[in-house]
Amino acid sequence: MIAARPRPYCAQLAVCLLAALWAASAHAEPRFAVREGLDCSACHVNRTGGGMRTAFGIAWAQANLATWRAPGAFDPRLGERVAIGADLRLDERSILPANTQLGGVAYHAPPSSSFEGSEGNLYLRADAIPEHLAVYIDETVAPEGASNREAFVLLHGLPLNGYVKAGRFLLPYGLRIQDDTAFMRQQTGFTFANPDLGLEIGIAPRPFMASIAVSNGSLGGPDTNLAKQITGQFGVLVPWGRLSASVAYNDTSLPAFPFKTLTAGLHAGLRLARLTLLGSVDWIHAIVQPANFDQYTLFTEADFEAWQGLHLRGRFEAFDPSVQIKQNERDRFIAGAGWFPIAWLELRAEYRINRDIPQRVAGNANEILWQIHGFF
Amino acid sequence: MAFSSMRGRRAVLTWILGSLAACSGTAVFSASGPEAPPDVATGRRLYLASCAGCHGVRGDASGEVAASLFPPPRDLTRGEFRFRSTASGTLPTRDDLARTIALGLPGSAMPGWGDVLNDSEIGSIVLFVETLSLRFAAEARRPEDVLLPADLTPLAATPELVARGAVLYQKMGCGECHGPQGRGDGQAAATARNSDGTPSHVFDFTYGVYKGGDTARDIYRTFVTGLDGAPMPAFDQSLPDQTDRWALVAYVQSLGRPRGLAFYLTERPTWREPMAAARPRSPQPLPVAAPVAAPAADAPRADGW
Repeated sequence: MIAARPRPYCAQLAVCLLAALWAASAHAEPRFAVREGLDCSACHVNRTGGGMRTAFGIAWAQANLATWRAPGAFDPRLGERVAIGADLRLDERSILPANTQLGGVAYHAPPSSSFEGSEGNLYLRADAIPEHLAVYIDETVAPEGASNREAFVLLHGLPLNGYVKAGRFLLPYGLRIQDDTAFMRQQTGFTFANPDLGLEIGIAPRPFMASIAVSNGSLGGPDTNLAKQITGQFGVLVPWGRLSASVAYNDTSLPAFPFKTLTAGLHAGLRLARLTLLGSVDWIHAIVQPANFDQYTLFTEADFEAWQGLHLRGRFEAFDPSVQIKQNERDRFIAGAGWFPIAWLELRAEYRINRDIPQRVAGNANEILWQIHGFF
Repeated sequence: MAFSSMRGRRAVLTWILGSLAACSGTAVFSASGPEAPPDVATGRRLYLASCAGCHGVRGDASGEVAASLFPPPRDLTRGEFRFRSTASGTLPTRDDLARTIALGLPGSAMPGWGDVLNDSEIGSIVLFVETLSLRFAAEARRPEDVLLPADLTPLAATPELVARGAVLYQKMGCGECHGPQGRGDGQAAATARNSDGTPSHVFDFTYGVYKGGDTARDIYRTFVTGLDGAPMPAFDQSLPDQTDRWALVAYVQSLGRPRGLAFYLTERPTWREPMAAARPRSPQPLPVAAPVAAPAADAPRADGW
């Protein structure tokens, strides 16, 4: 563990909650699925969540998501078989100064403040055969140069609510929350920045869902060997929420740096009236020279819907970079709020308390995040 | 149509959103233009955009997310609708359909569109929905099928009326399905089936979120007309006395939990507006039939194939 130092948690939380009178959260949010007792596929074209919204997702956002309803139905279709969508986020991230001490050595990280375009994505979906065959493209246009995030052919409407996805896509692992900096996303590698090329099949006979993907395991690039990554997920909707488990095995077989990883996680969502709880424990076993090592991440999040469209949120997460090395854990508390005043606009405020080993002083700097998110 | 009160709210909402847009520089989606008469083509366009995802392009409940929803979306091709002001087994009025579209079905995935679509747009969807089932072309609507008069006024829920309702609750056998305390745990609840063979979710009166609306008039309507396709029968014949009907309504409403902090904290806010139960859903009596034009004989099918 890191060297303990006093932190004015109560004051920080109070400031955060007060500041969060305007705020919000986002797309690919499992908390909404848990709250409504739905699969990710109800609201997202990608059956495992994230990216473009389905017609139902658009309808739900218009009618149920926000505090006020914007008059006039919004139709993102271009004609009857082509639809578009978008997500755009602008952040203002303030990193507060941090000071730590270890063995008589003082460490200091200066404060900073920056506007960041954390997400800019355009989506296009073409229904070659409505309700059965679609082509989907998710193109990242910001903050950096244009790049493709997902592009796949989706054969759906199969028996057992089944589907087949072929192309470049986000692999079916874990709770696909929007925040890629969450340890469970960042450390397992299953983020919005790491799609892969391959084939995914799945079924979802309510209340069950299962999917398995075979992909290159090369973060979206071509493969140079026969080894592949296998990723799978199984979940069940229960009256009070959702339970799921994920597992992934990747053998890179790279001549220069061969390593294998086995990642597994248990995930749960619990719905208690206005309170939605999410939890995930993920274990990463890396087989690499000269010595194998194990990592784990813990994720817990609570979302309280104080009023329609207004969400108060708290999160605790932890990461152990190596179980074999003691006292090197990192953890993070987040408190904030999110507000959807109207269906296509989200305002969000967060206060992040980061804790890391003293000598990595930047990892101990707390943050204030303001975000505006436009989407449809 | 009967949703004129929503126009006032929409005007206020437009002003608020305009102010928000001015402050934030964010584009706001404008309301539809002046209301044109409802028409099938508009209804088809709106249906494909906002309804087909669940109900399917042909209305057969085969939308791409239909399998993910519970309760499942209505198969509109069957022409069988639960929330009607008409006798069991007959077609709903257009205003019945418009009401469901406008207010949604709390507790299900069906959202209310009354603050999003104007009356003409909702009327257009109604016209298009009528093209999805042959029943609307084959069967005539008869004025005598409408069981709820426009001037229907609830009786005040006095303790005497509630007590009378409690007796009727036992006498009519409501508890066989809904349970002795109205918790939806009666002996027949476990085996109750809908007409399509799916398990029927027997309503828990203590939960307080009625799909068909929770005003006295809404509950009265369900008692009188039943829920076609569900085991809930119509009591228009077996409960002919108006006072008895209102007594049963008063008793059932008395089973709901009081609105307060505990209700706020423990109610699941899903598929409905916040605290919607505390707000009248249909403040005005609904007209018997909406004055909308009949659908064209050659109205296009939703799938366009």
